[in-house]
Amino acid sequence: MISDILIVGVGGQGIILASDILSNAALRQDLNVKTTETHGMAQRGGSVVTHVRLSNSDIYSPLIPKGNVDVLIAFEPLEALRYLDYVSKETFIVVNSNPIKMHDYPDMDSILEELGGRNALVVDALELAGEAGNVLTQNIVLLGASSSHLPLKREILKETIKQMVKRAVDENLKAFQLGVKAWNVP
Amino acid sequence: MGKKVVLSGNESIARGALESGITLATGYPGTPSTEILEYIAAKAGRDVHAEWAVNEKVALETAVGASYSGVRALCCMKHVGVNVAADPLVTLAYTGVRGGLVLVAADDPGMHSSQNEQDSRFYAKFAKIPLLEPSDAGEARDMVRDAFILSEKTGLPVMLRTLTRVSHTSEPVEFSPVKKQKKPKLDVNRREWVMVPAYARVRHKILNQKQGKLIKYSEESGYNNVVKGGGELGVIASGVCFSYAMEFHQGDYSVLKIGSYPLGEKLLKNFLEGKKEILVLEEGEPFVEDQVRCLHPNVKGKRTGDIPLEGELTPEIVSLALGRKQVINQGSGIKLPQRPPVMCPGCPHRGSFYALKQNQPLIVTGDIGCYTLGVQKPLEALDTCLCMGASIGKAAGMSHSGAESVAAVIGESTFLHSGITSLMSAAYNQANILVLILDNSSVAMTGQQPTPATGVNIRGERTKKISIEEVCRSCGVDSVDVINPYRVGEMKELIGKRLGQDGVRVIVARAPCVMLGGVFGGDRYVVGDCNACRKCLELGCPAISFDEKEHRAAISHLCIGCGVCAQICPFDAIKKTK
Ligand code: SF4
Ligand code: SF4
Repeated sequence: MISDILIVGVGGQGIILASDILSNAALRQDLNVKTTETHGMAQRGGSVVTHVRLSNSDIYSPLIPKGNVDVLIAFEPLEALRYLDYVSKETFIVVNSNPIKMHDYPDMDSILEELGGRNALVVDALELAGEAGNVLTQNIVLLGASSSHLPLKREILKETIKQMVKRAVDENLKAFQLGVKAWNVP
Repeated sequence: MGKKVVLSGNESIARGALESGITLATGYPGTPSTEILEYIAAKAGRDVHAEWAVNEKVALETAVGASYSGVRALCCMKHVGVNVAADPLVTLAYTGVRGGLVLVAADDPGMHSSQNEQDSRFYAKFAKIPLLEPSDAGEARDMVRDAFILSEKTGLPVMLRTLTRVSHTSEPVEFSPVKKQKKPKLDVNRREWVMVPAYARVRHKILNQKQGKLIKYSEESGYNNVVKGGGELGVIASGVCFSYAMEFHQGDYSVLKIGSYPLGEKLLKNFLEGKKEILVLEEGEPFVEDQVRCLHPNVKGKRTGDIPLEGELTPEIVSLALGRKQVINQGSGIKLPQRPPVMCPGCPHRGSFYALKQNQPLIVTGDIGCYTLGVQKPLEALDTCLCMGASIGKAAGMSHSGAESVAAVIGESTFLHSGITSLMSAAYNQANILVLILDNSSVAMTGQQPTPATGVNIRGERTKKISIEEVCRSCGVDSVDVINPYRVGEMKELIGKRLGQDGVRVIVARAPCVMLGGVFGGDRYVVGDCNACRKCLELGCPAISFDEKEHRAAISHLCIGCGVCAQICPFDAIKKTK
């Protein structure tokens, strides 16, 4: 069993913390894990991607082969589209509905349309993070929203969040819970 | 069993060095190597001296001093940093080392954050020293420990070549106990350490005599080994490429994993025997491939176009070369705009660049740092970027070739790294240039590491603070001004004045990197009565966009309130808000 998770977004959105939480939760659950991240230049507001591979057997390639992604977590809607060649029909996609716009940004309707035919959950992470008491917890909201499709136990994820986030622990836990519930919103 | 912790390749290298009982760790920040020293500074006790050196050459020389003293030293840099450190490196192979010395060179195939894709393995070959190349984080830790042992056994510095894909890949790594440090002992031996021709001739011979042993050690290292499989295809994979070879392994080919160099012919011949076809997978240049090509008639790789000569390998490239069935997925149907990295909202460089451009210098020679991002539209603020510190030399060369109104732009960390000597040379040789030093109190691109001008060391403690102004004055320049780049009008006027004068004029634009936090006290700006002149868009601040539907500029929540856009709006339409 190998579970491949691709996290995409824009440099500075807290993607590295999200993947650190996944890898540490995997260790707690005695799974093998490899994550590979974008550092350096792209962190200055460029397009960034992190590959997370979880398995109970050996993991070789740090990069997920195209088409193999089980869960795509997109911190930004346009970035979700940029990595569609990594997903298949079965891929579960969680998308933050809040765009980070730049020149020539396509209109939101066409982005949502493209995601429409897929197994996608669109989440307003900004609003939920605000509700949790800290807009910087959007990354944790998105982890919560994708947790149903991760091979990691929610309790373990919460424990790991407690251990890894330095500030605003309660807000982060609340953000996770609100993300979990995002499922039920039509 | 030791405890298991999720570590990146870089942290794992650091852990390996700590477990090896190093006494000194040094280097210069550079992606993808930076986190190695940061981890050491954060985790090591007081008995380990960790430091950011002012550049890679100084870093290596400092490590040499520790090694001559009989203790173990780690020296870390990105691949292009080795160019800077190459001078001591090559002769160090002659003098040899005492305490183990490991030089980590972090290559960046694909240029995620670099100006070239050079392959550090050539440096090891050039200097005739052993090289280890890990395939993942866990192996990186083990290799560092073995590299220290090998360094002491051979009396040579050992290079560890890591890659972006190893340095920035994390996995659980098991801790081992930390070895005791070696006792320092300075045993002077001038015939070994003073490389005058008479002594160097002898040392060169000794280095050459060591070469046979290096191959033997490399073959015995356990890092070059075979994963057996059927079929007539043999795959030779070095470093991280081993993981790609194994990703698609179904027993139908054998894999020779390469992790230790120099490669002996015996090892290769044993593997090649009976194979109809060989595929070589490696990041960088066809380094192993060229050696294998001499021993086998049918080798696929970079020379044959089966593997691209440029860029980083991917599972897709490897599966194609292995003839596996390709999964072809439909990407997006919409044309997606690129999202290249940009300078942060509120970055102090933006004001500097805007003011410089307003004065229309003939050419702006650039340098390496966050400000290099100013090359993009709409700022298009610099015209050259070559290597660390090159802006000033290039500007001087243009001035001596007849160009007038030449400006050089360089960050303060890059200036301290390798701009001082060029400034001195420009002043001494009477160039007519303007040098704009962007002083943001950090090595910003790699994560705001302190510099000598910050006055804080790698552990965050106060230390001597070097004054950029004083350094410039001592170099003999004709004028030095210090200015706040957020005052765009004043800055524009000052640049205009200095650009028209003869001699070497320095302007230090000083304001901390916004990533250091809390500069503007939480205010933000909004667009009020917009005339749609689009002037503010010329700044390229990611917080400002133009709303075509409403036909007006808009400022998003990304604004951090630097106020530069408000100063340049001709209609006073941008206002501060809480
Ligand atoms: S990190 Fe600092 S120097 Fe770099 S772009 Fe951002 S504000 Fe500017
Ligand atoms: S004040 Fe203007 S230039 Fe400064 S960060 Fe805000 S929008 Fe950008």
